[in-house]
Order: sequence, then structure tokens, then C-alpha cells
Amino acid sequence: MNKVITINLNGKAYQLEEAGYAALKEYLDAARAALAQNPDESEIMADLEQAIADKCDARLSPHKNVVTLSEVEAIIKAMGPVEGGAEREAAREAAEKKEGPKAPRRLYRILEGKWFSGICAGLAAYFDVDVVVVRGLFVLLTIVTGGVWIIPYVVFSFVIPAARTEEEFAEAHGETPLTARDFVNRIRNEGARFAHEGRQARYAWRRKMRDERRAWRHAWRDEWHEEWNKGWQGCGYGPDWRRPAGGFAQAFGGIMIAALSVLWIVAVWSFLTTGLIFGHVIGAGYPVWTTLIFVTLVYLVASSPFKALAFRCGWHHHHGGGFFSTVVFLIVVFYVVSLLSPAVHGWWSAAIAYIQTIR
Amino acid sequence: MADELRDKFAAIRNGLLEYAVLAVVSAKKVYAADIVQALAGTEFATQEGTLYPLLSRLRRERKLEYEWAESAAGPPRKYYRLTAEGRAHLQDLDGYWIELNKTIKKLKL
Repeated sequence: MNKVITINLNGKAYQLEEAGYAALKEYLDAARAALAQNPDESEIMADLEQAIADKCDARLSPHKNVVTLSEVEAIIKAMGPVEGGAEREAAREAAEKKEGPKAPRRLYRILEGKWFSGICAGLAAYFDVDVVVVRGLFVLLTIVTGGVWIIPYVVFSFVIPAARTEEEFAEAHGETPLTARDFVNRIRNEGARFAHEGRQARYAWRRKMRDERRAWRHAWRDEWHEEWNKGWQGCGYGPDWRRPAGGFAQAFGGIMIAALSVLWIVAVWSFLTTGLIFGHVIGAGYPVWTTLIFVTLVYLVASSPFKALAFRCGWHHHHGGGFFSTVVFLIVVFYVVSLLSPAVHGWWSAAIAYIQTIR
Repeated sequence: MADELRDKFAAIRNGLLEYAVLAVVSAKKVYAADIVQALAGTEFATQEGTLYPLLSRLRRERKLEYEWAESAAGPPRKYYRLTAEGRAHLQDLDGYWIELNKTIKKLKL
């Protein structure tokens, strides 16, 4: 008399003798370990489980519904050890290539920890400085140029690709030391690349719009219900966080971030122009910059859960896209800001006048 | 004698397994168990543990593709077939294999 353990093989239940269960678990654990570097690990594991299930079926009948230890051993013998050798080697080779001294550094938008479209993070990685410095510089440039700097920023978000793969992340950070000559070379190369990719982006724009619109629609229709039920549970770095879903979560998170950003911009704007934030005096007696930092911190803290919702749970992260959502985001922000603040109209007409004088 | 030959050619058979699998798939649409069966009893006899990672790699290299098909017994199965790229690759392998044979023959002259 042996104890029986019920297991699930690729969606179907099988009853195994306890010792047989232990043997099979050992085999599958070893297989998983061998395939650890394989990009198709889960698919191959499912195939293997199915093959084992087929072999179990062959040994079961209406009068016999338990797979014995000796049968499990025979099945394992027939399956043979799972070889990940070639794959492991390939992965190691790729890793070596990545670590090699010639990993070229390229400019990418980095979506992890981004505020808007990840340009500052990408530039920070590119020039190997802290992202705070780049952001500070961008904010300063925006103020100094009276907002015109927003235009190149928007152009950058269109033209600079987002780092999507591990390789691209490696390239974004690059290993090459920054010397004066390759700095110049790089600028020249990037210039050529921008020109080329600008053209590509124009061609791709229409197609992309259509595809993303469709993807959004489908995501909304198919998944909002599931997302709503899962709510916040689906977020964070759990084993599930890569799942290519999250239309609703992303849309909701995106809208909340956009709304908070608008509030933040309006707060900063009204503080700079009137000294008041929503009619209140905040930080009286302290230097202006401390109040600005305070407001920004409040914004960052308030928006972080929505960022988590929008960017870690959704297909946004999975596909690394962000192009369309960045555009939507910017349009929403500028539209709402221009509705709320008549001053922004002046701001934009000044920008347009400035561009016309350049022409 | 046979054992000795088997050992000597182990590495070569390993290297040729991909060729053998592509050859089996080129004949008709097959699912994994068909491939195991077709190779069983030949020099290329292989087991699922080896075959599945290989199929996955060939698919990733776009030499194979599969479609799901219902089966009379049990769950739907993945039926593999060659892609155009896979067919071209198989022809290359055929050509190279013939070259190797010619070379050996030439060396004997």
C-alpha cells in the first residue's frame, strides 16, 4: 500500500505513487534548471509535461488510475535528460559579447523610473551622470528659454528609440569610457542616426498610430474587467508582473499621472507667477527653490503608485512601447494646462513668435 | 566494432541531429512524438529531453513553425512544418553533406 499524490501535468490531473512523485519532481526541477537561460523555458517545460502526460496516459486504463514508481522511472528514462547545453553556451556568449570592451554606447530612452518619456534617464545613462542633474538642467533650460525647450524635448521623445531589450539597456549604459574624440564622433553618428530615424519615424507614424489604437481598444474591451478585479494585487515585482495585459490598469494609471502632472505644473506655474499655490501661501519665508522642490516631491510621492500601476503591470512595460502613450500624455497635459491657465497661451505664442523670428 | 564506431561518431551524430530533424519535418507535418518515432531505431534515435529544446531553438531561428491541431485522443498538439527559410537551410545542409561525401571519396583516390 502506497500513498498517492495527485499532480497537474500541463492542465490535467494524474495520480502518482509518492516515490514516483519525488522522482518526477526531481526530473522536472533538473529540466527547469537546465533551461534556466532558455528564452522559451516555460513553453519547453509545458511541452515536456505534455509528453510525460501522454506517456502516463499510455499506462493508465479505467481499471488502473495510479502511475507507479517503476512506471515513472521508465517514463523518465524514455524522456532522457533535458539538455540546455547549447542554449547555455549561447547565453554565455551573448553575455560575454555584452561585457566586451567594445560595447558601443547609444542613446535610448529609458522607461524605468521615467517621469515623462525617459529622455533624461537615457541622457543620464549616456553621459554617465546622475539623472537628477539632467532633469535639473532640462528644467533650467525650460525656464531660461521661456518654455521653448519643451519643443526639442517633444522632438526627442519622438526620435529617440526606447531601450527595449537587455542588449539595448546594455548599450544605453555602454562600457566605453567617454573620451573627447569619441564624444565628437558619437554626436556626429547620432546626428546621422537621428536624421535617418526621423524619416523612419515619419513613415512608421501612421501605421503605429493605427496599431496602437487597435491595441488600446482591444486591451480595454478584453481586459478591463479582469484588471479591475485584480486591482492593485497585480502590481509590483511579483512573478506575474510581466504579463502582457493591463489595458485598464495602464489607462487608469496614465490618466491619474496626467492629472497629477497637470496639478503639479499648475501649482508650480501659479507659484512662480503669483506666489500662491491654489490660493495658499506655502513655504513663506523660505527660498523659492525649496517650495518648488517640496511641490515636486509631493507630486512624485502622489504619482508613484499610479506609475507602478501604469508601467509595471501593463503591456506598456512588456512591449517597451510608450511612444503613443507619451504623445497622448503630452497632449492631455498641454490641453488641460492651456484650458486652466491663460498664461500658457501667452507662453506658447511667445514660443511661436520666437520660432518665426528664427525663420 | 559497432560500439566503437558509435562512440567515434557520437559528436558527429549530435551535430547532425538538427539535419535529421529537419529532414523528418520536411516530409510532412509532424508532431513531436512522430519525430521521436521516426528517429527511433535509426542512428539518430533521440529522446524528448533533447528534442524539445532543439525544436524550440529551430522555431526561434525561424526554420520551423507549428500550428495547433486537435487530436482524437487528448489535448491539441503542435504540428511542426518547415518555413521557407527552413527549407532553404535544409537544402544548404544537403549540399554540404554531399560535399563532405565527395571530399572523402576524393581523398581515397
